[in-house]
This record gives sequence, structure tokens and C-alpha cells, in this order.
Amino acid sequence: MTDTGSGKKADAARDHDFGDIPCPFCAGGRTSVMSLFGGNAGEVLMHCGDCRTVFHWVKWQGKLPAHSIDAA
Amino acid sequence: MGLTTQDILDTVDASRRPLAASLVALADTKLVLGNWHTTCVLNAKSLPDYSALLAMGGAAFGHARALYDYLTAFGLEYALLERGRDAGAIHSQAVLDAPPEDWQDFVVTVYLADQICWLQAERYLSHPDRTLSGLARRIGEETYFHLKYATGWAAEFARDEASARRARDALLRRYPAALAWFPGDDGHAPAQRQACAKAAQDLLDILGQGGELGERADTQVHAADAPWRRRRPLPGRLYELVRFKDLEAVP
Repeated sequence: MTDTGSGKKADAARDHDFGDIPCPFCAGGRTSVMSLFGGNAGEVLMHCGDCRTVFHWVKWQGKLPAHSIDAA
Repeated sequence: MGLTTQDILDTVDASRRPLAASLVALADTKLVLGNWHTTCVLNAKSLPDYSALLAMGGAAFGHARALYDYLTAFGLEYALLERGRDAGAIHSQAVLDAPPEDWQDFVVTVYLADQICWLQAERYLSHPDRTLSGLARRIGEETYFHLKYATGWAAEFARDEASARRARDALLRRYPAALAWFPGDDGHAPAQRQACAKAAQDLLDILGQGGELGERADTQVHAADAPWRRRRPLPGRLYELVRFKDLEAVP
């Protein structure tokens, strides 16, 4: 676990999609991605570095890939 | 000889045929893409990879199923769309025709296929039928993270020169088929081709391989070549993978 920890947490902190997700249990900000796909396709598996809880984060948040047409 | 795509679409009211053709092609691509993910899952590099591939495969199958279901409103039969067609009637993207040659090729190809699907689906974000616009939005929301998975892998490839080069070679090999998906006489096609080219270039940049993809001669497409007008049978080995094997068991 150790060798997968620091690098990926640093990457997640820089990632604009995951950088500011608070822990739903302790509201701590030191959260990181454990798996981009969690228990199902719509969830990311997250870990809180403060209370060490694992939690699911629903990923949609209205994000869409880049558009090619203005009307979209 | 079995039904062709055109045979199926001929049963749709002429005014709705272009939309039906586009959605059949999108759904068929999702069907094949789901099979790509689930077939390649045993090549996953880690447990997160396993879960990602299974999730993305499940999402692709779910999109195909939802689109086939939506197409029943056009008078098309769900069972025929999902499992009643032969290789000549499945109209998926040609970029998925050849099996992946290695992990880099797999990642690059599913990135391109997902990107193309999105560029096709986004046309319907503002469609007056809220079912279709909602479907398009959901496809986009899920595709966002599928693309993120691929670009994450591309960043990993970039850390190793040989790996990055294999990914670049795969991108150069698949790129013409990806760009050719957008028919030349479609009003949206220029913007879609441009967005597809940009997405491919973005991946090349992440790979740190430099160079410009641009509009190469082999990416030129003409109206007569519009993918969903061409009778391109699915390659036999791919069809064998995609087709449902035990139709007798289906009521």
C-alpha cells in the first residue's frame, strides 16, 4: 500500500476533478482517489487521509467532455 | 443473406431515417466497445484496472441497450436490433474492427472510439425529445471519466519511451479510421472532425511524442463513404465475439 500511496495522492490533489472533495464523515480535505471506478460505474472510490475512512463519490457532477458544436 | 443496415432503416419513416441511422451506428459501436472492454479485461494491469474495464464495458452495454430501446419508437424491433442481425447489419465504427495489438493499442483505440461516440451523441444534447437529450447527457457524463481513464494511462505510457512510441504508433494507425467516421456531407461533420483531430492530438501530446496529426490524405472522407451508408460487414472474428451465442435460449 505504501508505494501506491504518496504518488497517487499527490496526483489526485492536482487533478481538478478530485482536488477539492471533502470527506463526508469528518469534512477533512486530505482525500484521494483509490479507484476511478468503485462499486459501480458511477462511483469513484475515495480515501480520507484524516479519518482514514473509505467512501464512494458519485462522479457525474454534470461534467461533460469537450464539445465540438456551439449549440451543445 | 441476412438483413443489411439499409434494409432495417428502410422500414423507418424517411423523415426520421437519418436520426435512426445515426443512433443505430452509435448503439452498435457501444455494443462492440463493450465487447472490447470485457474481452480485454483479463489483460488489466491491476485491480483498479479490472474494475475500470468492467465498469466501462458495463456502461457501453448499457448505452447500447438504452439506444436500442429508444429506437423501438421508430418502429424497429428491439430483439432484432440487439441480437437478431448478422455481420452485415451491425454498423459500428471501423476503428474498432481490428483487435488490439497490445495494451497501448487497446487504450488508444477505446479512447478514440469513446471520443467519437461522444461527438456523435452531443448533437442530441439539445434535442426536443427529452429522452434522447437525457441519453446523450448521460453518455457524455460517463464518457468524461472513460476518457480520463485513457489519458491517465497515456501519461503512464509517456514515462517510458518504448511504451509511448507503441501508443503513438497505434494512434497513427487508428487515426484515419477514426476521422473517417464523420461523413463529408453532414453539416456537423467539419466541427466533429476537427474535435476528433484535436482529441487525438491531445493524446499524442500527453504521450510526449510531438508531431502533428492534422488532416492527412488518408483521412479524407467523401459523401459516398459515409460510414452508415457503406455496407461494411463486421469482420468475421469480431462478429463471432459480438453476436449472441445462444439465441435458442432467448424466449
